[in-house]
Amino acid sequence: MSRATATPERLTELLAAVRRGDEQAFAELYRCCSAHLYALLLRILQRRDWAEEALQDSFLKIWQKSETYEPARGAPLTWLLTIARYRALDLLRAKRPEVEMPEEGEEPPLSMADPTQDPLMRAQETEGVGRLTDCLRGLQEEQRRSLLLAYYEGYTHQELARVLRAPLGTVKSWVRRGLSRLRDCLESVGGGLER
Amino acid sequence: MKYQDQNLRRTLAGEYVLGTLRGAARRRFEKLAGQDPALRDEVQAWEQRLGGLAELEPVAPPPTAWLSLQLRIKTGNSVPLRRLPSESRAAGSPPIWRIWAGLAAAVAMVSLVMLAQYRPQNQADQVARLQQPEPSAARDFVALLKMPGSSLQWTVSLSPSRGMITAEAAGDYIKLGLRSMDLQLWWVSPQGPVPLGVLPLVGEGVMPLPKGMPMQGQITLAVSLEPPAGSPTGKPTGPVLTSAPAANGLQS
Repeated sequence: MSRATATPERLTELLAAVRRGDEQAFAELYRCCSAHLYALLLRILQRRDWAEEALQDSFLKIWQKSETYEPARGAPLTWLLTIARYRALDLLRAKRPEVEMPEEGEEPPLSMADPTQDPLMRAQETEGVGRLTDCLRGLQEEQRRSLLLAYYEGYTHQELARVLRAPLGTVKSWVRRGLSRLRDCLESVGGGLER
Repeated sequence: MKYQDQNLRRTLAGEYVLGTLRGAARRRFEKLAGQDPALRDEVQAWEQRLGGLAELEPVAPPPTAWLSLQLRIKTGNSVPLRRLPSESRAAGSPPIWRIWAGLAAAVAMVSLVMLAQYRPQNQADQVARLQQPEPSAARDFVALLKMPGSSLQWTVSLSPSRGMITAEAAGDYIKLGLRSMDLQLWWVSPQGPVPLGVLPLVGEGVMPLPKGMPMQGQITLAVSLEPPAGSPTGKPTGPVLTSAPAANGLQS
């Protein structure tokens, strides 16, 4: 969590102030966190214009819905990133055909790197997620790839089946077992994330 | 679906957070979670478990995002100022140009209407003035440019006799949003936007009046958000924040 330029305590204070309609606090929240949200949105949406649109949408929601944040239930940055990610998934659902068939003259995707390798490497660079990375590495290759493709690319079961060239039922099972094993692993290692 | 099964509930919550739960099933799950605190707990547990994946190397968003966001909040507008990609694709050009093109077209139309009105009465004189503006006799043009959703506004005077433009700011500017950018004043000519200068956020600013700017008919001014010291390209790069016609004011 140390990557935010503000501490979790400060972010929690800011969110409480935003709930009271404090515009200065909202501006500070934006300064602290927009680069974190934008990085995630770029990673998922792969286009600057969509990421900027989703960033605005996310902060609009944060402004309107800050009362739904409960400090006891997790880190504030995680909550902010979750809002951004759900917004990105919604946008992808609406725009997926464009993603799959870019037309001439469109802004090209920002990254053509192998999406199944890239996220894990980047996630590893991040402090505080070592355990998650370790547990992901402990999964079977297909399970890990399925989870990461779903997380970062917003793939559906059907899209996973196509990309991974496997029957739909098999892919569904990879996702479910992957999630289940991931959870078991995270709980067995020490439970910090479970409290 | 049997939502009583604990393992199934946990799996569905995981798939909801992961994003593989889609369509009607996703909506149904959201509805259920709305009435089921224990199911919300499962969702939140998964959000925490997978949260680390969302923490990537930060990337600073473009400065336009903040001001656009401010305007969306203050105007109660839920539609992004930037057009949706699908719309801009249809036009085949970046969204910003559609706005400018629209302004320029409006200006051109107003000019035509005015010429049509003037011509019968004073055609010879009108043509002469078009070709040869008379600075000594020219009047100031004054525009009031208001920033939507804020009290910030500028009174802009174009003075052909002095060959300069003065802009006086009033009201509160949006402090944090403007820290790393400037607001640039443009003349929206029928041929496209012409840069005039960077607007002051407080007090008065002066900028030269472009030579050859015809001081008659409808003059439309616009403000766009630009990098510090104004657009590097001589053309608007940021969103148009406001625009207004300049009215023929007092004799200078």
